[in-house]
Amino acid sequence: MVSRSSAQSEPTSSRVAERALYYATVYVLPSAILIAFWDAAARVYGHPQLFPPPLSTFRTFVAAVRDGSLWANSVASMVRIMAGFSIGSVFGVLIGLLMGMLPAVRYVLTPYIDFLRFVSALAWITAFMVWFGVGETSKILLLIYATTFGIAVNVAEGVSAIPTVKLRAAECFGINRRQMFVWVVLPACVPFIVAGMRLALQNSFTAIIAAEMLAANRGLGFLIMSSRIFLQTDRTYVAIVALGVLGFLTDFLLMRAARGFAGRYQLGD
Amino acid sequence: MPSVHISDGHAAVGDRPGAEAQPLGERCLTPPALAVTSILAGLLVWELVARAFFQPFTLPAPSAVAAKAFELLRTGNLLGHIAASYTRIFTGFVIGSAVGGLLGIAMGTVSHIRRLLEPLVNFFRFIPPIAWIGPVLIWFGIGEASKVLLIVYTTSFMVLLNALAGISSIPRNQLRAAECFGASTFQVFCLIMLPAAVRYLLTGMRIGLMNSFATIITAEMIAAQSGLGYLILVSFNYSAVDTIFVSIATLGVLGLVTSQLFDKISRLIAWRYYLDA
Repeated sequence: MVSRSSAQSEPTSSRVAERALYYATVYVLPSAILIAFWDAAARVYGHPQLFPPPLSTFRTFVAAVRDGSLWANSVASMVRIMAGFSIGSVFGVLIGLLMGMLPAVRYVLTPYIDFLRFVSALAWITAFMVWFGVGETSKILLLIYATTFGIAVNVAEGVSAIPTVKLRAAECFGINRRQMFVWVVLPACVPFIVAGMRLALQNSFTAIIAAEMLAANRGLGFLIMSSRIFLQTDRTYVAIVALGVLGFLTDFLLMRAARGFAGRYQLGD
Repeated sequence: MPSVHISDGHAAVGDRPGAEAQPLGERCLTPPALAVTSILAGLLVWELVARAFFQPFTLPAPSAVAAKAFELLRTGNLLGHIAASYTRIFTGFVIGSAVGGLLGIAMGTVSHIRRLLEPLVNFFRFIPPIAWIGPVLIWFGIGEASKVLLIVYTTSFMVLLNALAGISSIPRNQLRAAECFGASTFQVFCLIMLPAAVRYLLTGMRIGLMNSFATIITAEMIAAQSGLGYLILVSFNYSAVDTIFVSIATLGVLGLVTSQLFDKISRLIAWRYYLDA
């Protein structure tokens, strides 16, 4: 909401400078304190191989960018996440809507979903490896699992949160079932779909890292695990920071896209 | 984005409008016969499919899984692993909730602390706890400390973010009203901010608890000699899929029971902060 209102007003140069200064103090200062603290801690600890200081980590980062290993591993993880997340989102929304609309589906599925959402995707890793091998299939299926339930639960809750009055009003105006679905139920669910997708995206990151740590030869999780085995702690740091940046960026892009496509549905924060 | 849904007076589409509405979880409880039928039907299909099309070492039938579960329970093996995982989760959860709660409340009340910490929190919360397992194992070894620390990390962020959200959700007018009545800063903190944070804190703790179950499994898979995650990985190495299924089912039951128990206890202790109690 803030960004929209500021975009509407005329962006004068002084306002831009003010904003730049604001972001500089608000973001740069804490980061600088963290880096200084990290450097001091590394010096006190005294074993750069176990706890590398920021400067050598930065050098490793530059090297990892140069030789393309960081890029290749990030792409490998992101491709898996995007494939599993998009398929899982479609499934999740469909199951959630069916559960919300049809009591029969809800009665049949609710016990399973209530149980399975307490079993994290990570517990299934080994079972999936037995069934689908150690390749891409098992990882993408794992991500579909990690995504589907969160979204389905959210969407079903979204449908059941529509006020009765609204439904009655729509019926009074002589709406049929299809129109009810398209014009009342679906729009009311959009904020819940977006919220579910946002949570699911974070879950996918966790699931893929764990899966790649246990069985993969590419990806950021693999990078973290292999660097640990070779005691290249600085490479682990680079992978962790890359994960944080990717997580932040995808979340930002998802919210941007959601605001762009569905901004009218009061997505909240 | 803490999910605080007070769903009373809502109806589900598909039901006849006007039928009394309940939230999803309770709706399932209304016809328990249906839930039981659904579960039994699922188990039956699983049993038949497993017997007809699969070998026991790829997809064991539910009867085989149940037999294995009894065997593991009798030898005391399963209980030992449950206790190991639970101890780690509980220790980390308590410490993490305390750390996260204190930091969240500090960030919510003192704007300087908030400005200082918010960018860092926003960055670190996008790093899954599992990613830290490499460095944590290097720093703290493969003992209990490293696993507990991961759970602390997992829990504290959820609690922190929710506590912060709770305090930020206080309407400005409520604070202004308190000031008009001459409340001191300390009174505003104790009588308005803390109560507003309680419910969000509890929500954050519940999410953190659930996430801890996910974190501990992977941590135990990668480095442990006990716990359910260790049991899953060892069974995988021996391709004992029935034991994997027992572990997964145990995890589900544990998660379900813990979540319900936490909800009950928090309602018992903090009932006055629940609007729908």
